[in-house]
Amino acid sequence: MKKIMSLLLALVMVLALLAGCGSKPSNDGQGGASGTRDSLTVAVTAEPKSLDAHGANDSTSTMIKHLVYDTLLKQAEDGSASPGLVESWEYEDDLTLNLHVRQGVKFHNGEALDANDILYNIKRAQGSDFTNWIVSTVDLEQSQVVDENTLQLKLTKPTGALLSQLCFLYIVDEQTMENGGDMEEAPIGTGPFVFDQWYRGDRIDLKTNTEYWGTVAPFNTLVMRVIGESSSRAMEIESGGVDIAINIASNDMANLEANPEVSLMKKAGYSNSFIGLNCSLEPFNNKALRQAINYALDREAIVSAVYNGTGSVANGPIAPTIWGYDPSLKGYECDIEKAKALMAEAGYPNGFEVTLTISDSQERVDIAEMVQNQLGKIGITVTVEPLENATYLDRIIAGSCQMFILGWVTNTGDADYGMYEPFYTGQPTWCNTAIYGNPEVDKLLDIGQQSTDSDVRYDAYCQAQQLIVEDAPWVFLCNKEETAACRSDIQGFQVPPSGRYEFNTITFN
Amino acid sequence: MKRKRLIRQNSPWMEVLSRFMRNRLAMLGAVILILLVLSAVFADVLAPYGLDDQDVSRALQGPSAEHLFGTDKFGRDQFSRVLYGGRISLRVGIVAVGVALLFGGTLGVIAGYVGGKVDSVIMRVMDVLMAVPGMLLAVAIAASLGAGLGNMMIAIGIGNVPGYARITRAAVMSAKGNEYVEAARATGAGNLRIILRHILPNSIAPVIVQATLGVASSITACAMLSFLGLGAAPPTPEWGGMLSTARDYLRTHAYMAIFPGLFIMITVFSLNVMGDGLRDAIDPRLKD
Repeated sequence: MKKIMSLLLALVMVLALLAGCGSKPSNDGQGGASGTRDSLTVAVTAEPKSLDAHGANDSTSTMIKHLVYDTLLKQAEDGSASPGLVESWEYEDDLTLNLHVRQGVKFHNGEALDANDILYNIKRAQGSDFTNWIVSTVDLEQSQVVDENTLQLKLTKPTGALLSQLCFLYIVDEQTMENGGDMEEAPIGTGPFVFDQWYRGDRIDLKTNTEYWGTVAPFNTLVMRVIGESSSRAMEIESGGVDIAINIASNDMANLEANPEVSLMKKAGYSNSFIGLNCSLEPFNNKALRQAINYALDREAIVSAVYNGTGSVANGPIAPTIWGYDPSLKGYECDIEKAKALMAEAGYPNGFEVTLTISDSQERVDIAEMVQNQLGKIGITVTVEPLENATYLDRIIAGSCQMFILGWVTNTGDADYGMYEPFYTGQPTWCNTAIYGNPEVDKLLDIGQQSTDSDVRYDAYCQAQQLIVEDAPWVFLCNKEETAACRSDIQGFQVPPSGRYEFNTITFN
Repeated sequence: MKRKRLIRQNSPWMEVLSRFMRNRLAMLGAVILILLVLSAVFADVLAPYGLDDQDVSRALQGPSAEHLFGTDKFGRDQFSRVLYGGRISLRVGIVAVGVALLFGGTLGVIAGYVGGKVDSVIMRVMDVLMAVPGMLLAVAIAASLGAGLGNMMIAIGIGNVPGYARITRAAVMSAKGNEYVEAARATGAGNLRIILRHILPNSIAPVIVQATLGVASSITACAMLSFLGLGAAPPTPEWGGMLSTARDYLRTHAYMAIFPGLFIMITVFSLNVMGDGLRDAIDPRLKD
């Protein structure tokens, strides 16, 4: 009797569980006939760190900033600069740039945008570690506001990539900041969406800015839901629980491709992944040994297993999508014999022990597992040390990891950001993570940064890439693809290579 | 009549054994368990591949004659990894219970035998530990000690200490009042001798039952901690860890999760029915 009772109870519990798992009906109210809707829901991969325009630059933070704020210039599809908050611009000489601010633009709190706001933002951006690179060559003393809509920037040295960098300067309201506004939690910008509410661990709600100077979104609310698990994002887009899902895992692609209600989009991106070899620590302060590791690893296998064939094997420090990429780069072929010879040359004929430090993301754990296996075959004992992401980054910034796995997003699409930050001698360790330095490379990167002649710049970057590949401060792993999926009744949704999505330009069928 | 005579001729432990043998379900559990232990011990003989034989060209293949349980994303043979994984899971289960038994048992015996203030202090500490859910405690300890197999065994073990302390204390207290203990004391036996010779053998039965069931729950706890990334470091195969990596492939390559999951289930099931059978055999009055 007892047994029957307990069986019945178990049955009830299982049924209750199943009932609980049942999918909720989708709650986007189908709007009127004019192709508008009440809301659009987007699934993103992680909680943003900060919404401050000049704060943390992790991918979700950037994604949301890109919705709330506008940039001075916009990145066109070919990577060139096109008008943003600055309507037109001209160089008076190599060191003087005049910016003409778009008229009639209002911040979300009703304040009007003028040239003073922009100068204030440049000042603020210079003071932040995260955004200093955008405007580091602007001479604040000499730059001046000519009139309400004109700003004259003076530069300390010629800056070839300045225009592409200004596509990353997000503009906050000076008034709000001076009154002690909290941009991290309650940002106020001029962008297509107005920040509404941040439900931590769950979602961020944004409202459409109906007075936006550009395209006004055809829906009222934009919900950015944080769904960490890639398979959950895929299921949500299939069931219609979200309208757009960012970052689709390769193993979910086949299902989504087969589903007529979903369109899957891929685009070769600006980001790569690499294994950093700390050039300032034993044992990788030895160039031959770094090359040996590059020869020893079968990167084809790693890219095909970890990224399941999306993306391509990297043969240099920047992806082919980035301006300045040298197509003649050969990179390293997997060659065990060469690797062994180089190890012997470096004084480690019988192998050595090394610690590979990683964050606990699945992608990096997978890479580490393969690296451990492959290096083990030539006698290198790899100890994998997985750390929680924040601790991991702290350790890298402290320069205390021998070997680590990271990615770099050259979001300007220009070789300057792709190579100056991570390879110039003495750059801070959050970007020059391998603590690499080569005077010849520095010289070339200086030319690339300062010249405004694109042929000169291009040549300099090509030479620098050859040198960096030769020096092997990284194991160049994979050029990544940006992926996203949207419901097929959404039109005009684009996957940008830099991962800065725009949702105001979509339309509904 | 006949049976009674037979039983009277045997020692109490033989009696327990014969009662256990008559319980078919429990015997099934014991047989499965022995097979599992053997497969884990002889994994290097039985497994057709090594535990970390990567070959991307054969990645993500479903079960076939060549790869009974299919292959994972690195092209490693899942069958071999499940066999090797048994070593870890079973070892963690047994060592964790061992740790719990050692500390919990000792504390329980002291509390139960000495009594008084010592008893109160020990048991209040145990109550405090018990107030924290076992799993949560294990996660907290594992997280603070860092990931790794050894730490995981300690974490699960400590989480189980209060349970064993309580059971041992109760059994010791009930054995302590028996006449044979008084008789032993009257003949001048020391405390240690009384505990080891007279009390422990007469109070060990419930502890054995609890330990058998405990191995099962430790294996699930181990799987859970590995699933959370607090367990064995890769490439060491562990059933929970294998489940965790299979999670991303659940919709496309379900076999990756099914086989390690099945092995966890079978192991826990057989340990549980065996534990139940042992309890029934040791103390038939407890049945149902």
